[in-house]
Amino acid sequence: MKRSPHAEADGHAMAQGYLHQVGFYDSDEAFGELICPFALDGIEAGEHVVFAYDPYKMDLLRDWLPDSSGFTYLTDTGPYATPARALVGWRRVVEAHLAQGAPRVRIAGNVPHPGYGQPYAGWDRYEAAIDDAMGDLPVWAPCLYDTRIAPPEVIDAARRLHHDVIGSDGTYHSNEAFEAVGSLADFFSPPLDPLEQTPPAVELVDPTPAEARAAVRQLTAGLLGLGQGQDLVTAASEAVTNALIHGIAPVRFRIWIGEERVVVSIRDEGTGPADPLVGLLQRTDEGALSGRGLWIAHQMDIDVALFSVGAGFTVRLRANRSDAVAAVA
Amino acid sequence: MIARGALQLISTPDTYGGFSDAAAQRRVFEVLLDRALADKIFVDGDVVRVVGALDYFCAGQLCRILRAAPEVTERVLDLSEIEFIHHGALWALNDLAREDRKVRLSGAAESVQRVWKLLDLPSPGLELC
Repeated sequence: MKRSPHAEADGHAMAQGYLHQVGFYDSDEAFGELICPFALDGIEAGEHVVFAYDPYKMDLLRDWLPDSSGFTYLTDTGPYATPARALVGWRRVVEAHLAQGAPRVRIAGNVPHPGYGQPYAGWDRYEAAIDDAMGDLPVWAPCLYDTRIAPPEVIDAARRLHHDVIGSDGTYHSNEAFEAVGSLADFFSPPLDPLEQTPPAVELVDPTPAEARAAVRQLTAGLLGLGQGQDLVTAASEAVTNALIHGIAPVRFRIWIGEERVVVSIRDEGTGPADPLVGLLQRTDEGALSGRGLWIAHQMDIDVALFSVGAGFTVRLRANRSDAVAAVA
Repeated sequence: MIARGALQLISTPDTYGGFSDAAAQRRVFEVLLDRALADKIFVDGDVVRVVGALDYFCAGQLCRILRAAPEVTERVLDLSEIEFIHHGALWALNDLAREDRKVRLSGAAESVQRVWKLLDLPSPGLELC
């Protein structure tokens, strides 16, 4: 594999600063032309390289790259469980390698999107948040999108969410298509869960957090694993509290019980948080003694989605029913 | 609900330390407990047992009451009968705790410990055990 021109004496490559770039490829060969020099240069610089790609690309990388303790292949779900946990997970991975002496850590993986059978909604917020989440660390993160499978809207969003863009020759430059996000509405809206089109098992208007917790506990008893059930209770309570404090009445609290999952929705008539990255970052107003409710919810072992469309803001929480219990139910 | 006058009495930092003697402070503390959260908070010496839930809306009351409490080097809050704590309540308790005025939370459920860990706050005076 040829090495790209940015391999040596590239001021950016040797900098201790954070690099987060977008690049595109349309063949395995083109992918290799981008990723292999990035990886080999990292090893040569004494840096650590971490991959979190799908199994097919992982096999390609193992074929192309030499055996080296400087490479780590994350073969499970890896950092990409949920966007919020991805930010925390990547940070932990990077910090661990820095603590072991790496001067910088290079990370590369594929962000979920419909080309991999998963929605991109939520991951566009991840792309916008990663600079804030990891910008203080010496880490180089090229986000390479496979244009053979990435839908046009995903490519368009990825192009707008990165400050730098990588050319096919591996060099990179400032991205003229970059656009700063201003609100939640700038991101893809998560797809509705089909259960949300059906009558809920329960609907409460302006519930207290205690009433919301009691409803979740009562309706999900025996359906969820203990930890996940508690996570759902905690997240629901935090979301209801937020709606009562910051939202506009009425607050509508709904629960659906499906054969495979439980859905909880908390909606108020306000426009939602002003921060487009709310829940993904541990940001809190100075002097405040709360304000991390959505952050905590996003760290739980459940799916969290935010909807800010027109008048109204909704927090949707979903938890899969545990298989053993679901099979009996 | 807490009485209006009592709330005013304990709502400003200036009030704390303004008592003429410890006995008077303790009497006010006991009155506040009796009027405010008697069904939720029980005092046994230096141990304060909290029952039920600490939502966002009552966390401030609890902290005001603890501030008005006779000063001890270590305050123990027994949370073994708590079903839920809003993260803001943990945060407020952490803000209340000091190195020389520690707050120990005992019997905290796993879910409470998890939220505390996620908050990741510097906590020189608060300890979960």
